[in-house]
Amino acid sequence: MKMAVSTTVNGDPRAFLCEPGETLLEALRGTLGLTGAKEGCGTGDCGACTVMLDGEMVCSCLVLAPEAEGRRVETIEGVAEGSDLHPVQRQFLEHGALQCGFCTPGFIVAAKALLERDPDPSEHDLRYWLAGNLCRCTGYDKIVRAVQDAAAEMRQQARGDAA
Amino acid sequence: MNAQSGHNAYRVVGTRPVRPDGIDKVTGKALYGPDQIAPNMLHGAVLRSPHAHARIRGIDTSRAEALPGVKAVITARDFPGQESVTFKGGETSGDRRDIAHNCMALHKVLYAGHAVAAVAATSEAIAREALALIVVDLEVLPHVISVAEAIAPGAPVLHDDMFTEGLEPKPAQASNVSATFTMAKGDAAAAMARAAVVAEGRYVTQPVHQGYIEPQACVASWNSDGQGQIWCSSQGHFDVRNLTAGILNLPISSLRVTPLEIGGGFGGKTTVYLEPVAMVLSRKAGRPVRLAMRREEVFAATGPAPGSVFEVRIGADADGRLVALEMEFWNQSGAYPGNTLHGGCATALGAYNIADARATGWDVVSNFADTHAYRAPGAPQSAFAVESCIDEIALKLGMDPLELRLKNAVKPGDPSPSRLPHGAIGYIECLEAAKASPHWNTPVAEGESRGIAGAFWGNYGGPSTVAVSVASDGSVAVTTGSPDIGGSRASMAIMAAETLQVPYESVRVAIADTASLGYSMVTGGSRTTFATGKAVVDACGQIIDSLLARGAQLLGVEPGEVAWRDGAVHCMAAGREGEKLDMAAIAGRVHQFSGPVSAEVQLNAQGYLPGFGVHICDVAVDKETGFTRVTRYTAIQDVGRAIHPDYVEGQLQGGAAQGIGWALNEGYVFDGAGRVDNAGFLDYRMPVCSDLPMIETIMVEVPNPAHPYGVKGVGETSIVPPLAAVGNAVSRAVGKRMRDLPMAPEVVHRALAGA
Amino acid sequence: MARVVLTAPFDARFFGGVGELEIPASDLFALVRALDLRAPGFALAVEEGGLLAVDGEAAADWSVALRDDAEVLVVPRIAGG
Repeated sequence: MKMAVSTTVNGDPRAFLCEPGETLLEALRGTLGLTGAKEGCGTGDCGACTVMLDGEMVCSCLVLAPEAEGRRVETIEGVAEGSDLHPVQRQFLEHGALQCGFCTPGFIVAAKALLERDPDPSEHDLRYWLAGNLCRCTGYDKIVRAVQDAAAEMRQQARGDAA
Repeated sequence: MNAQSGHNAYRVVGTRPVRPDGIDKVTGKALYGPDQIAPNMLHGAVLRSPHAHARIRGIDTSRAEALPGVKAVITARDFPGQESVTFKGGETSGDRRDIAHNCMALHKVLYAGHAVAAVAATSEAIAREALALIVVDLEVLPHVISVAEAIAPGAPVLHDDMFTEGLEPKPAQASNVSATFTMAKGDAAAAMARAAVVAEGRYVTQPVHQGYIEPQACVASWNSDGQGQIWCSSQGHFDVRNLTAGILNLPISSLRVTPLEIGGGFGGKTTVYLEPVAMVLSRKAGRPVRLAMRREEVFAATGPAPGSVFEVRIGADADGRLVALEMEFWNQSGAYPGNTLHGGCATALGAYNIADARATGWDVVSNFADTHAYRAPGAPQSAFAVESCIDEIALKLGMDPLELRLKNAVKPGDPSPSRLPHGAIGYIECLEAAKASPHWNTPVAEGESRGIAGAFWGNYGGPSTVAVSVASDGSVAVTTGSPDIGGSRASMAIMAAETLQVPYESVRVAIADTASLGYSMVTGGSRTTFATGKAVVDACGQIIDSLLARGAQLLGVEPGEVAWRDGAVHCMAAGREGEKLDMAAIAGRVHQFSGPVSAEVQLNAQGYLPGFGVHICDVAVDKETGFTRVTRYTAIQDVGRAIHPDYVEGQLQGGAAQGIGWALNEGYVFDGAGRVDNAGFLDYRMPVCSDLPMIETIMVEVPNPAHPYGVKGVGETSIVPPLAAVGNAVSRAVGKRMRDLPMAPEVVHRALAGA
Repeated sequence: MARVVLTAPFDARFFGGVGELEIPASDLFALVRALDLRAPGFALAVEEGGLLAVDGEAAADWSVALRDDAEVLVVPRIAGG
């Protein structure tokens, strides 16, 4: 028996049918055609499927698709505004903070979530916040530096906006 | 450290532009293996053995076939029979029968996770439901996991037709020892007897997984006319094609493989697991079929690096000159013969001048997944043993471990492990850079300790095909057959732009499918920027020659009266010096010349040089819990020339992080039934962001004269030193030599308690 | 006459550990054919897992003419990941 789910994905209303046991990740990648969130493990250990659900960071492989009913889902596809990259995305490119890029969508969603709640995280806090996202290529060095520079850029921008 | 002669002469080489595939990858647009779909596609699933060793008496698929939505069920009987024939194809060479039987077990299952049947259905849920309806009648056999179990007298034998290769005469009895290999020079035993100090020990490492985050996945479509297509990610789609066609007895050109973005490989994606299975399902169902592994399947059924046991002795004279090395080692390969004996021997003999040395390796099969290449295959385990012994010798002689290495390091002209003299290598320069580094010159912090280790890795060159074409507006398309794992499209664009003297942005790089370009070997062996890059530069040279010839004709001057400068043909004829033709002015005129401006280059790149590295590691060991934290880490490596320094640094940092994981946390754990007990990222604990410090890098540039821009392979060397660099630091903290990996807290705690 | 220097595993497996051989050959293909006549199976083994070096340089192209006093080294080809 399929279930009907009405939700908002990256600001757009979306309605879809799913099996009761289907995960949000499966619905996003399958029915909704949003393959930016990746499945690295299916058990919530790698963070490649990280999305925001009502402003909270979740592993979409651990959320059932019907749980998205009436809620706001934000994915990597919604991070850039049109063709304007978010500072975290831009700094990832400037730093070469990706090699294969498979973990990158999860890292960007997670880093953006961190900077929205803490605009000036210490390296220690940043590393612990991102500890739920696995990267096997980079050794994290350039990722940490990219997020630090994105934070600085966003603080500067916020000061500019306030002035 | 980056300054070397001529470096400033480059305009684009050595800069750090944004990679061409960057925006796709930070916005979620890039398509990886698991993202591919095809119209009317079916979803497949693979049934895997729960037993580590069993004889297949029969498989009943009738109930699965009867399940609504199931369109095909297959077993090994649906594959063509295979003879034991070695594939040829560079690094993908392997035994065709072994690879086929690893994809789908025929008579026996050799590990828990070995595929025995597969289903294609209208949904993945139905396919998995159908798996539960397949009845496999297995006669469970005793299994072996460790080297000791596998070589014990009377041990159950995995392959009754396997007789140790390399022994003369050929053994009369089959065994689990697939091969032996020795590299020797001089008289190691006699030299050892004369040594003033000897360090010796038994070093043990566990199988570790490459740990790429993207699980294997593919879509295959095989039509009744014999033509097939596969979409997948891999380190080499030409070799996916060749292996799959070989296993299915297809003409190679009847199969077209389209590469998708690859989510990490590290050697593990240079072979096939799913592709032949998806092809057979597709033929039976008459529809495209998608197969994707779950993480536990990746751990249980794709090749980790072998575990190992090394018995090593190294002798030195009283002045710290290394005089003798004796090593015997056993690789704990998985279900089929491994391929790392040569790498283990070469790494033992490669970094230092030791006149009398003997290294003998034994490859031992056992009942877990077929082991496969992992970044410098065979070398990290060997360097762990050798570089730990060297640290011990330094302690015994009261010498600085860096000075001891400097005293013995190989230089250009010294004999390499293959007996050929070393070319323009840079080990001495790496050690000097380490000595001058901020890290080495900072005193070790209170409560911490420091380790250092060096490394050798041979690298590779090999065959590549490249096409370069100039569009009618003068923009440039570079097409290669080398999958881009770590930013190589950027380095290809840089080398093309440098050669053509045009802006980086006017060159675009794509990776062609197997029907669109000639063969290229896998992205592996640290070969791509070297070999494929060399082909790109050669092709750009041909483009320049063609544009010069056409430009001279258009200008109405002699061929010798034109020159290539700033991406244009400049007239050098007397009185006409200011005249020039840009690329668009020439390339647009396809109808007046013999055709479009394009060039294709095929080569078999030689002249590759080995990589050398030195890593420095500081650790803090918690004396109460045995927990080790890496507090500072520096990776130094001779990179020849860094084409795009960000991605070269990235290779150094990534290899270091993987090596730190290998040293401290990672290792397969098997339960009593021979199943992988930690087949998930929670229990197979790879380093996360909070486990590591920044990883400082120093790129030493000793250019390779065999590459137009001096490139040496950089990808693999960086995983070779960390095991010993971390081990030497922890050993100094504990006051006892740490010889077993991983140095997990309980292991260190035991060592502290016993010390 | 090319001087062929054989290393493990090719030497023991095919030539009884002689170490070196003198072989007349115009190029590496001819040399490998000549060696295969002496030790059947050698050609296949070297194609699958061997590397030939001429006067200290790995040979990319076996069809290049061999000098009369060339030294040819036969070593195993290394694998990478």
